[in-house]
Amino acid sequence: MIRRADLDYRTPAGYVDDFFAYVYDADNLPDLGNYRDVPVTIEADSDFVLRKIDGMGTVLAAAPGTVRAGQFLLKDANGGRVSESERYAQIGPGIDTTAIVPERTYPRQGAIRFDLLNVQKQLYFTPGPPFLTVPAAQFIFTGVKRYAGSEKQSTYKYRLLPYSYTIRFFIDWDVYAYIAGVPAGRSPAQQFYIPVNDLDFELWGLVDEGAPIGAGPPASHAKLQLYDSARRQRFSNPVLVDYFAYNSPLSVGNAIAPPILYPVGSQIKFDLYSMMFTTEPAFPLEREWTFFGAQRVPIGNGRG
Amino acid sequence: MNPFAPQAVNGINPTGDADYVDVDFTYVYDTVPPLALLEVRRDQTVPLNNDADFVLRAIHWTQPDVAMLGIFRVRFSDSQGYYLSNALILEGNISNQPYAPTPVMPEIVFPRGGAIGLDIQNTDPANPSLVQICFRGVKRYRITK
Repeated sequence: MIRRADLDYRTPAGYVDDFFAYVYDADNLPDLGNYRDVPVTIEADSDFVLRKIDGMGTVLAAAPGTVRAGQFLLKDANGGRVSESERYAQIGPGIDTTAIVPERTYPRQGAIRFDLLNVQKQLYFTPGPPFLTVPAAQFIFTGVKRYAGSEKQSTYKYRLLPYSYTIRFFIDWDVYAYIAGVPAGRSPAQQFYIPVNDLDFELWGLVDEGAPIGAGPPASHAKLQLYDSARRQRFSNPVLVDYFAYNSPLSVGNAIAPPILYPVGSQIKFDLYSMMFTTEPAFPLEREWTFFGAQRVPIGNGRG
Repeated sequence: MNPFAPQAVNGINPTGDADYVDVDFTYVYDTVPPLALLEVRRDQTVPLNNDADFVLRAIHWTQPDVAMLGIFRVRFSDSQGYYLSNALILEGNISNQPYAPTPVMPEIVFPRGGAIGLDIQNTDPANPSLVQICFRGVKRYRITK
């Protein structure tokens, strides 16, 4: 019989893993083009272990009505192809989430490279005049940053107790900042803080709900940047919420692994970038987000 | 470990013999040119590279052209030519979702330089069929010591 503990992942000795996602914004790629060896540079602080890719349908021709789907080909750390030819994106409501098994390591200061054929970015637009658009096209490479070092052990014995932090807010600012009615760049982010004020908290994921409750997330109405307790970003660029929310209808397997630990007294900080237009019927959009996970409840003699 | 995360996101420990290393790889079969109406193609092959054995673990497909959605059937064979089903399988009985491909269980090892075999048929009398089938698995490299 296979025991649960046998399935638990064992980070190689001498290393520590932190959840991280490299987010490639395709906003500036012209449509209908083919692009070879597009790089996403790995940051200098650590190697990156890739486990999941999302967002193919937001960058490549894939919308219903598209005649021919776009294609994608991932390269390894040395630039070698990881499939024999380019894979097509799914046309229509298909989900393009792809697991990378076994995981694939990209060394620090290297690059995740890939080929794109037939780019056709997903655009959000105003329902009427002045007919503005904003691209919502990203590849999300999810995995872990692998640092040299050893896992910090908790200073106390604990059991895990399911726990959630909920925050309700409005997205009530436009995707663009305007001068004399003309877009003059993206609006800045708004910052949110949730104090962790009871016990140490492991964050496992995010559920995105809105009004009316149960409606689920609309097509990514915002981009998110998440910070850990040391204020380190956990995405290389802000990510479309639908590619991070656990209950997303557009991607699957969205969860934080390994979990992010927020010690008591710290804050769950996140930045939100609006992807809405003030002229949309749903504007302003009320959201209720649940950051779910588990509290570490001391047992035995408690702390120390 | 996050119980809400799929195993692939939590991480999967290396498996197999210590003398080998497995590396994620996908072999792709495209029906080029597209299958004509009711066309049958027998003994198609997906040639494998010479650098490593291939371990087939999952299959999924897509039809990337909305003008060529002819319903197809397919039958696979291993490197010895042994069929993996007694008849051609209707497309709907194989996953077309990359996030949840049809597992090949137990996995099948194809020797380097061999081939994945298949027969494929467009059963649609009205539409041609452009199909891409992805064979997901690993290349198994021998570690030189």
